[in-house]
Amino acid sequence: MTAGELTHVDETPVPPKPVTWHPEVIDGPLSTRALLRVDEALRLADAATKLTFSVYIGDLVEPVRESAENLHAELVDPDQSVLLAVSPNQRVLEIVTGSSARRRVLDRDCKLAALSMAAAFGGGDLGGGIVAGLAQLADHAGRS
Amino acid sequence: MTRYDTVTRYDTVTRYDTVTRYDTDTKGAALSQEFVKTLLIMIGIAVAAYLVIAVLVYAGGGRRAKRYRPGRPFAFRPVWFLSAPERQSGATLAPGRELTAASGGAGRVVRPRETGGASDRW
Repeated sequence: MTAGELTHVDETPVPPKPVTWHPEVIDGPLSTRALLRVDEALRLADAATKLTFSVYIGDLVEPVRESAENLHAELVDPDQSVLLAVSPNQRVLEIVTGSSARRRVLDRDCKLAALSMAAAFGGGDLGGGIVAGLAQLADHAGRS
Repeated sequence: MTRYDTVTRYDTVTRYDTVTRYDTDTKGAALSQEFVKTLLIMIGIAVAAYLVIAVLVYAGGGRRAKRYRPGRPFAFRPVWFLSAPERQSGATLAPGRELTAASGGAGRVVRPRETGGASDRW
């Protein structure tokens, strides 16, 4: 057998590795430091509440609320999910809770979190606002 | 034309007045040459320092210099974060789906039973 000769061709397809590195977030709205903080806050919120928190940052088509609800509906388990949709250019923030999540994170808790997030966004701090909002929402949802 | 300046000094050894002549024309030329050279070096140092700082500023600042300020246009790529996307089903794993979802999802009527939440503006 010479070097480079194939003796056995493995026909079984290799399962795709989970994608853990998304280079496109570098062009996203958050700095590296803010990305790390948001990632940590998301992980903690999910682990503490067993709900699925997700954060969308980007433009929302009008009507904004409908658009955010459509995004929320695309999640795997919308009933158990909480979506924070932030549009920095439209200066709009939407928090969408699923039907089960809604019983744990009340609408008035969402409003409170939205207020503090909007305060941070108004100061130009996107990462800080998202981290604060996630922490508040997770806090209100309580332990599962 | 050559012009001379004379300086008279009293020499204590010989006890004579000595007269020294200075060629002012050549001396002036030498002086101005020296002056221009020094001036050029000084200006050169300042310009070089300015250029070095400017290069450092524009090379180092780069992409991360952009920052969100409310009311000003902020160009970025939309992102959608989940804490563990690999544990979600394939719906959220499809590459690019989360980036096009905001514009493409308007016509769909896939709604959970009821949603709650809050809205705010700043």
